Amino acid sequence: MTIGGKSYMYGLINGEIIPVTGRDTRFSSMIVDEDKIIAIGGVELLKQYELESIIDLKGKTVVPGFYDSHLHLVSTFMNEVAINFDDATSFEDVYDMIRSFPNKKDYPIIFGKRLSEFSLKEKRLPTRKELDEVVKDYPLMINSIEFHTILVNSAAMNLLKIPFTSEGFEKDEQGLFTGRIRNRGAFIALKKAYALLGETSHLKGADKVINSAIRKGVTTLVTVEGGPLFHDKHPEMILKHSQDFDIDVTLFYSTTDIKKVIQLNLPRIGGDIFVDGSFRSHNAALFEPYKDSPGDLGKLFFSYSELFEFVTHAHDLELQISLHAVGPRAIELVLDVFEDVLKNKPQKDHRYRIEHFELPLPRHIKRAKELGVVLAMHPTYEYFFREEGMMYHTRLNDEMRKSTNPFKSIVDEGIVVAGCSDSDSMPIDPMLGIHSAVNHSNKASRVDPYEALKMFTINGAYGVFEDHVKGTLETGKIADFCILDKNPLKVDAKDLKMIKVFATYKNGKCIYKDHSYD
Amino acid sequence: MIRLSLLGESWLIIDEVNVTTKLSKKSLGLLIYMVCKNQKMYYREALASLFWSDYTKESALNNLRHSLWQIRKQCKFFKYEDVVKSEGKHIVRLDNNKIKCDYLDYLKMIKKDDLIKASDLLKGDFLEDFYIPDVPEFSDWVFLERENIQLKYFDICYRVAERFASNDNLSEATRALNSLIKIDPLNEEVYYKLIKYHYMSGNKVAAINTYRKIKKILRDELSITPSTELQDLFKEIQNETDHQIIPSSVKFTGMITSKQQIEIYSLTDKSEIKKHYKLLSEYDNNSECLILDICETPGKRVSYEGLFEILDEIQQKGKYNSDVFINKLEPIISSVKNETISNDIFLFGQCKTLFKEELSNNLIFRVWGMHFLDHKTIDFMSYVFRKEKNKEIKIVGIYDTSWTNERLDDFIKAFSET
Repeated sequence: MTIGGKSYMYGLINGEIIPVTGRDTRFSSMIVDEDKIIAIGGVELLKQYELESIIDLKGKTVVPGFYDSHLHLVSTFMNEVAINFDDATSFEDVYDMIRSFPNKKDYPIIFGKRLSEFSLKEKRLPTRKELDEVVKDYPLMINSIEFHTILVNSAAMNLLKIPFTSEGFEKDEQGLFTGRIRNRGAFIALKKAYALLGETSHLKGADKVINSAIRKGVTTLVTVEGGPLFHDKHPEMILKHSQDFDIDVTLFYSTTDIKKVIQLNLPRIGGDIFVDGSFRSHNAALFEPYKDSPGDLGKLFFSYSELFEFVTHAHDLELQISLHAVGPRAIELVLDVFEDVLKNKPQKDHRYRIEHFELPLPRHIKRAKELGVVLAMHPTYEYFFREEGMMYHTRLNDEMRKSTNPFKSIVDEGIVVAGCSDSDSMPIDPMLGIHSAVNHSNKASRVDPYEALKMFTINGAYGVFEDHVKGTLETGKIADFCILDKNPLKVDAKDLKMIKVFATYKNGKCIYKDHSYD
Repeated sequence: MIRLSLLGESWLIIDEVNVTTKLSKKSLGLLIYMVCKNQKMYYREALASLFWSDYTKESALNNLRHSLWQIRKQCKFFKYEDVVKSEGKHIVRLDNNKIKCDYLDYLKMIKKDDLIKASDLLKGDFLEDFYIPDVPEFSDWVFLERENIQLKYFDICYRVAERFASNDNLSEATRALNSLIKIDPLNEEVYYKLIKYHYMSGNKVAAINTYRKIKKILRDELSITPSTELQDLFKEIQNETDHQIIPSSVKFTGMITSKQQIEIYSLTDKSEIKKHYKLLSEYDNNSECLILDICETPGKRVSYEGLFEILDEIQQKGKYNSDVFINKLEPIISSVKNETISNDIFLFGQCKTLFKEELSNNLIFRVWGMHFLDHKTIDFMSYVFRKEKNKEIKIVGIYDTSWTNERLDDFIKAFSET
């Protein structure tokens, strides 16, 4: 920190500093000069430096600033200009939220997000006609939580001109359009709707989202933008505005168009290049059928040769590659391709990533380790999807449900797991992520709090080649850290999600301080 | 004549005067509904409850009466009496003989199997952008009709294309199918037919070029692989074409001028590829400069395939006087792509017209994988180098020398010696 042109050095004392450099390593003091940590150790440090100020931690805990290693930032920003149906439990809730959405006229189309039939007591999505009853003058498009299905009212159906040959239109028993549009039709509608909104609308929620992430102790967000579910203008918006954010935003561009990525000078490609889909949409690729859709094994979106061709090309260009694979068939395909490409042209520290890795087989875990693959996983899926009647329960049979997100076996194998929120599908809340990994409903898959903490700190940094500067609290590293009211390695596991972030520091500077923190 | 145009933007034209906005949206909707339904009579109550469903019966009937009066008034103004007639208290009749409507003509022509005329009538969606918020049943009807008309149009165009293709008129067959791509750019069935017709006519390069395009579009937009049917068709074509190299006998006569430049990044060491890619990506499209990207995806090109990529690029990015492009240049592109190539010099000459008419001062062929380039495209670039004197032309590309491309070697040698 620099004040009046002079370097500003300060110390933190009397804390429980968890540097995440070793399971049992703890310190009580840390010295920060400008944006860097220049020393970490015990109380003796105070004598060695001439400090401008001292922060007495009074026993509170300091951890490295959190990483969220896979989220969709622009889409999360858009929550500000969209109706968020997260809390809707009935049609009446849905209608109330639509009615109370302000400034309907300000947007060419009203976006609704995250509507899930699993959460509604009616156990289905509303129809076009039902939506028309609430809003008929303005186009309304609701993106269901599974992304592959959208709902439109009549005005939106009129506006978006989705080709009827896209085969995604659902009709009711009278042969009328229900307003529910799936797959290809939904993708087309989404792109068109995003294209209708200008940059200002897209970024309207930026401050709110970034501030909320900061309040949760996040100092680096790894955002996945572009691709079929979103819009290609999103990655460009992130690059244009990344310097405006108070925390670091690292971009994964979900495209197979390598030229675009090179032109933007990005060192990595992918994030959500879909090798398969999701359980919710029945298109995560399985070896056994879905519980609620007999005979259905999901879908692979790449053939081996096509994926091999893409990965080889990106590998030749030394790009870090990241692919989305949820089901075991997709995971196997990705591992096959990575293995063959790396066999042809070995590269030691590639850090290729598989995003989600939700239902791997034991052999996949072994192979991922052998290949040096980083796994970007979403522990909060276990928190939100696990209950009776929720997604895992509905889609997956008993055997499969036992094997989702097996953090323990993965970590025991020595694989780096980067923790992610998948916002805007899930909230940006690393402590909740840590809680979910530690309290996995399948006891055999639980990791201890230290490993969970690593997922959201050093492993996140490792996942984007930033571990030499961030992710741990070490001399010479950037002073990104947060102060917690309790020690996550000591509290009862059930209370992890209750831990409060008292302050967040980015580049040595306090960017958030809770009002209750003195 | 009263003309109602509904296939695309909606117009009501009476004696060549556009009176669309003289009617309220509901009155126009009412007229459209009655014309399209083409019934002998309509019950007032049914119409009133359809268009004013939220109103009391009496109020709905009053509104209907007012709307019918508006329609009559406009017709009467142009001396068209009795277009809308009341019969007693309950019935309304519409004299459809006095109204010409493209929607009804379209259906009639389909019935008569006059498919080309029918397809020419469609200028957009049925009642495009015509939406009345508080008439839900009318909207239901519009959406279903919109679907019906669009699906019929697809069927017509498929049949038209098939007829043209069987008469060896590939250009018209392609035109019919391309009109469908404008409506649904991700429709694999349309692309399948396009590829098949090109293949059947012996134009394998067009077939391969079309497959590569849809493969990229599907990946970019939907993140999917082409259907098994498309892949199988492509493999069949590729198997036949793989070793079909048309040797070039023409010797390169390099006459490089100060306006021309070749910059090849030779890839002897694969670790250099990223650096070369970056160098290539630094060229920027701007008002002065036209960059044509070719060989972006891996794979050896068949003869003329690179030329097709150049045509796609110039069609997409070229700066032209639009009239000249539509009248003169588009037909050239269409004929090059849809006719079997017989004479290189004639073909190259035609393609060169595209460059001549293009308004940029600088032209850059940016070849991401020069080693994949086919011989004929190399010949064409050499031709453009020699013949196009008005533009500064540059070829930049990455050449992976682990691939053998003798024609490319000759080309580089000839031009580097001058």
